[in-house]
Amino acid sequence: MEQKLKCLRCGYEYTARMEAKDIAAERVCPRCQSNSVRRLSSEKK
Amino acid sequence: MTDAGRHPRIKLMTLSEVEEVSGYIGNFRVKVRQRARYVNEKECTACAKCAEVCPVVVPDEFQQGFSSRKAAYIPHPQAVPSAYLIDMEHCLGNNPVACNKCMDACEKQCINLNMEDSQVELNVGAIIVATGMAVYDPTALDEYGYTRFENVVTTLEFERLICGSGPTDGHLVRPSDRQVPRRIGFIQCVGSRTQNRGNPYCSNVCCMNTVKDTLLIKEHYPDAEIYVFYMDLRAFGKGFEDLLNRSREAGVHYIRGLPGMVTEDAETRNLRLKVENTTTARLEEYDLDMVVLSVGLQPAEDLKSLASRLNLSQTSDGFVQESHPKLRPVDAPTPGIYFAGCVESPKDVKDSVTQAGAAAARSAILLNAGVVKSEAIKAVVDQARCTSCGVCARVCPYGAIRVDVKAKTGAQVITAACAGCGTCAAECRFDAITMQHFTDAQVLAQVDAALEEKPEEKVLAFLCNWCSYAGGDLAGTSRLKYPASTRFIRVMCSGRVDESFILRAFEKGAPVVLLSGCHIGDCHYISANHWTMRRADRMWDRLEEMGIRPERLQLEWISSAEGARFADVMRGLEEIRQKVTPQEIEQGKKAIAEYRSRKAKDAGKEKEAEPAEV
Ligand SMILES: [Zn+2]
Repeated sequence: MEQKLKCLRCGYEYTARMEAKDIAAERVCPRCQSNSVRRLSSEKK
Repeated sequence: MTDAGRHPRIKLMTLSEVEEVSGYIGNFRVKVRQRARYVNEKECTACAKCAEVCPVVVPDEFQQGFSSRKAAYIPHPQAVPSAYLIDMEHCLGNNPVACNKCMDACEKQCINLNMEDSQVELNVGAIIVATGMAVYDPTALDEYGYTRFENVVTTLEFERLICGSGPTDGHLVRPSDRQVPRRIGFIQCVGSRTQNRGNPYCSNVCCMNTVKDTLLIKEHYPDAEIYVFYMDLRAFGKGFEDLLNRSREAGVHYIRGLPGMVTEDAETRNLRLKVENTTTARLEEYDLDMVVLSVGLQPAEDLKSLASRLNLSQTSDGFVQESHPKLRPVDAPTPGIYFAGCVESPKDVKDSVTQAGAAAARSAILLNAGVVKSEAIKAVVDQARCTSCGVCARVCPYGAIRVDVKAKTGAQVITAACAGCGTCAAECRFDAITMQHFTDAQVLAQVDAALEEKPEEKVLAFLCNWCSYAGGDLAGTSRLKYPASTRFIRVMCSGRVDESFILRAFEKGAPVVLLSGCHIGDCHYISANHWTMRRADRMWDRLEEMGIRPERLQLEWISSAEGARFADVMRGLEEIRQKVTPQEIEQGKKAIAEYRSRKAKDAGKEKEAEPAEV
């Protein structure tokens, strides 16, 4: 499943493959390495 | 092993598998499936008559397929118990009975081909997990030609070839022509210390195993030419450097560089290695009779399923996670469970024996005491508030809470099993759980105190005791600078941080709140920080609904070794803080107040919406 993600530190938005088991996996912003990475539902910006 | 088998107070259960574990420290109930041996092990004298008449011949797994065994067999020479077993997968007596020769040959009538698996239930006080390890399969590294060239073998296969009880009685021969190899190459780090194909970690034992092998070869064949191809040689144990020097003095050539390719001469079956010697920066070629791949170690194949049955967490490399790497290295995070050997990380015999001794001692202390001294930080359920919804039991990483959701009997905390992470208290929507010493009232009082003066100039950070707070300590002792605006509240686990703590901080005017804990997979409380992450996801959505920028709640995983990262995160938070306007803070306060009154109206009970005043 493609998941939209947004870094709440630097604002970077990206998509990544995320399975159900990955919900508990550590998320790291590829740009600033922050863990404040939020899952965005498709209708959210 | 024989000593353990003979010990009056040790019951060895071979061919057995743990199917289910329930209970807690001092009171575990373990269901074990004991597979049928098809031979009465108490009566069998290991006379071998069954194997002599058995017509089935299959490759011998213990000898790495270099020799064969029968369907009636003993797994290896020193196997305990010293009794035969029938490999029913290959036995002709299975379906339908077509052979029966072993039964006719067995004078003591020990064989019963209709024997069935049995299930045994055990009550035990402590559990030691010692599953051992598996070795890396080098098939994927096609450049070494393991599957294509007969004279390329793994260290485990080589071990059988030079072992006195091996298929060649300890005479070193190469597989293709059974001739003594005169030129032997060892390739190190096969499947270890690699990011792409294999495992990222050092397997710990391979360097010294190779050094030992080179000395063994030199002892028997002083004229043998031996080449060891390596990235780094790690000889860090007692007497290891000495052993390495002896190997060098014996004439073994150590070449720094891993071969890029192995090819074979189809006629002679000899091998040619191409390698960049990084000390001379030259491309070199070596003609060899035999190549040994020094394969790395990895977790046992079935460790994952066992870990889930025992409620153990695994690190990213698949080995089990200990309670504390320095202070409790043989304890599982689940009290009453201990580790020995390679289940925890790759280690040699000496380290395994040391750890096994420690695990045995840890268990003996527990069993001899007969009572468990528990931590004071425990969950306590207020039965008047508990609705038996079962959320607390679901989130508890230790299985320390029992709730009968149907019978609505109220949650019960098993005090001996509760480790005090506080995840249950944070997740309980009815505030029915109190964490002793980290009560809502105590934490909220800290929030209020931290934000009493000029809250708009503060960043409030909730730090877990074991990782983030220790990371902050390291930043301090390392004299790293970070902004003075940060205020810390220590909780045992990030899983303890209740939504109401975060809302209270915003309500009191904090521009930015940080939620910080151990890295995922490193949680001191098994998997409690998974719930921290889910809560952060939930909170970001909720804040957005309230019109509060989700950016004002930050989440960072910081380990105790990451002092520099701690300081870095704090600097980043200060930058975010400076962008939060006073109007935004005020709007946020109003939004939370509205949210509370709406929630109170919805629920019809003031208590739930309003966190306890202090
Ligand atoms: Zn970022």
